[in-house]
Amino acid sequence: MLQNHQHLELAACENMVDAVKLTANDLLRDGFGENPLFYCLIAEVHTHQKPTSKVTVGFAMYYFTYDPWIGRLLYLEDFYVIQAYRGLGIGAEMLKRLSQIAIRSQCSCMHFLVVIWNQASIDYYTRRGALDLSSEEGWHLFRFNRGELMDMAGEE
Amino acid sequence: MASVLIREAKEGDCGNILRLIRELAEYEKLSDQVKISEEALISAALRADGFGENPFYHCLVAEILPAPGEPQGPCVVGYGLYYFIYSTWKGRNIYLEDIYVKPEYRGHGIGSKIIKKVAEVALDKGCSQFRLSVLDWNKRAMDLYKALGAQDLTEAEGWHSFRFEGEAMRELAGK
Repeated sequence: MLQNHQHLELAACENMVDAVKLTANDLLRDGFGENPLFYCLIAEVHTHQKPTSKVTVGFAMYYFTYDPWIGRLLYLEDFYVIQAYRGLGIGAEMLKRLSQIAIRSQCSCMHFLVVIWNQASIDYYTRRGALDLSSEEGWHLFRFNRGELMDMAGEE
Repeated sequence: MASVLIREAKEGDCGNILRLIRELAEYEKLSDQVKISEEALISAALRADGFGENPFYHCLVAEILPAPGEPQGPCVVGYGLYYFIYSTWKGRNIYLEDIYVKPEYRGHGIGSKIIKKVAEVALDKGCSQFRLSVLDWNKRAMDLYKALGAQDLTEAEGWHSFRFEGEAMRELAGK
């Protein structure tokens, strides 16, 4: 089960805690109902204090997208291991599981976004064979926010 | 010109949509990625993936409706292909994967009409934003999206699209 506090820890890293609008109930409805809008892998460790209890130390959130030429793709929306548990191969194990899920779901690619100024992340993924399509093919990501959507919809 | 209708694609539009998809791939200069011999497979997949019980994508088409008295029938001259994505910050959003208008029909606001229709769909489905990608040399498209209020996140925030594919992905999977 996705822990809300961990999501906020990721948000704090990106200095944007105020931008997180979803609640645990939203995530429950959207990810664990009849037609899930996303899927999640979690990494758990057993704690020393109470051997029977587990702590979530990482998660990957993904869903499926579509390219008319290629078909379904696996899109990795969030990928995170808490600071104290990095360098132990947890991230690599999650990427391995995600790749297996992608192949099993007939996806020929796994794609995701990275901030280019985050050199550590860039190195992590390129070392494992990922391609930077924005640099190689010139793709720019654009976004319309709610205000623009309302302006545009209101004009018709 | 006769009137333009932006409507949801029907299964019967698949042939037209595939033709326009190929034109878009040529326009983006990425058409060498797909061989002609694969088109029959792509056509079948497109039909099944978009018009089955659980569609992987949704499509809008731009159709020119003839004026009264004109002999020709309606003609599909553009399309927009989108799907739903999810943000842990904001919930469900839309991603516009493809948008294309045939060259001879540009300059009449058809592209803008398609985008506005996607905006309506987004709000209707409770989405708070929609995203799309543009090639950096496609100044005309970039200008259109900026004029409609979109922000270039790659320029503003450094977001780059990455992909694991083929051999790299198989290696990750441990195969």
